[in-house]
Amino acid sequence: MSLGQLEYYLLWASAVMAVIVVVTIAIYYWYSRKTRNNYLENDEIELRYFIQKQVDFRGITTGYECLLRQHDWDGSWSLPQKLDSLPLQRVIFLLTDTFKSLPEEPITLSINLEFDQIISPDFRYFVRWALSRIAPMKLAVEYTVGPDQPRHKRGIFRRRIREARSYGMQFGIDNVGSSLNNLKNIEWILPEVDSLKCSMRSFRKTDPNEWLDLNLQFWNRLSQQNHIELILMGIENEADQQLADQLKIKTRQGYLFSRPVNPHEGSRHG
Amino acid sequence: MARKNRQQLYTDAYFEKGHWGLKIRQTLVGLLGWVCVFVPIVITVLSFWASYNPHIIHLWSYNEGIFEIKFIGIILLFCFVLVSLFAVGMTIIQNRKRDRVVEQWPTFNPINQRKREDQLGKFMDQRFGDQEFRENVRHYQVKPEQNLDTDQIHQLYEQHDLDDLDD
Repeated sequence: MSLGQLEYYLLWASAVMAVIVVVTIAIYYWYSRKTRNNYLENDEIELRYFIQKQVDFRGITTGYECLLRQHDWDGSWSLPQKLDSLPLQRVIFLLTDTFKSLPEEPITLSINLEFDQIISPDFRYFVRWALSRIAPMKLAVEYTVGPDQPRHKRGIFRRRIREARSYGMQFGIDNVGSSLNNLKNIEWILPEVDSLKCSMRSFRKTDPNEWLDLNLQFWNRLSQQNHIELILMGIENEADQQLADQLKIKTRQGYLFSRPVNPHEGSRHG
Repeated sequence: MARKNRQQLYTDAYFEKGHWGLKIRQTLVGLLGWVCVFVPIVITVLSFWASYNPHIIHLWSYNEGIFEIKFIGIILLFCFVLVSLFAVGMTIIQNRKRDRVVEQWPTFNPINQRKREDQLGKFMDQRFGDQEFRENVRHYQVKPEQNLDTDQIHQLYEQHDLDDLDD
């Protein structure tokens, strides 16, 4: 091989290496990108978790569901827009704030997260940090299954949940309803689920002829078969309570026990 | 004050007073050493330069030698390019990672950290009394058996499988 040829090959090798480096940097930048909408990243929007009690069949508090609220200019608190734009770091500080306002007992704090928040690379850091900050309380992350969850990202979603559960996080599916699609949408993740939440609202018939694909008993049986805890929410009166007793659903939540309250005020809000 | 307290950890007769024979001999050896470094470099550079410029003094002009210099030059330049690309690329990625991960999240396992704090707290409570007592006591005499053994805290973590360093 002549010197000229060697020069030529090495030049090409350098060019290939340069391309590899640029591509690697581009992939890493893409991987560590922030989501496009960053509405709730804005610190000027005052956020707080309101808490709603969860009780067991004896009426003893087993945990609280944390419901995100935004402080409006008129002093009221409302459900914020674009929940998926809430950075996970901010969730930590909101959770810590809630934790401080409650007595230190081994109860569960549940929060709702969106699909994109769970599949983000930060999720594992979030889970570990959150668990360590609210100990001895337990953390449950709940996810409401929507119709537009991307199928090709299910694998990564399952991986993130599996890893988070290995740290001690509980994973729940929020608000499963009465249509067959609700079941189809969650079947793939059932082995990773610790709790299922059914709302009485979805199962109350306004018209006796109304057809429900799935009733409460179906979800109750499915939970028992898969060793999942069923939580009945939206319990508003004694009749709902009796139904829960009859179906032997242990954990309950609803206006009968408590409305969502601001943990700093202790007063009741709608 | 600091200068006085500084401990002298080595001795060197060359820099002490006297020892003139040693100083002259070692200076000569040192100079000879540098000559041996520069002479081959000057000869090589001049010979290579002379192959392009007839005005430069002609020390040697073997074709194999000139080829060898060019060959090594190309190889070294290639290595330099590769190393630079790698270093610059990794620096860019590392800065991004610091910005987006390391400064945003605890990258150690905070769950185990918390457990370690709890275990350490329990251990100190057992040995020296509870926290309130420890923080408010005016006079406390540590008994000989209360002293900590070598690696005792490390062993405490290991007993509870909290030693993240061995992962």
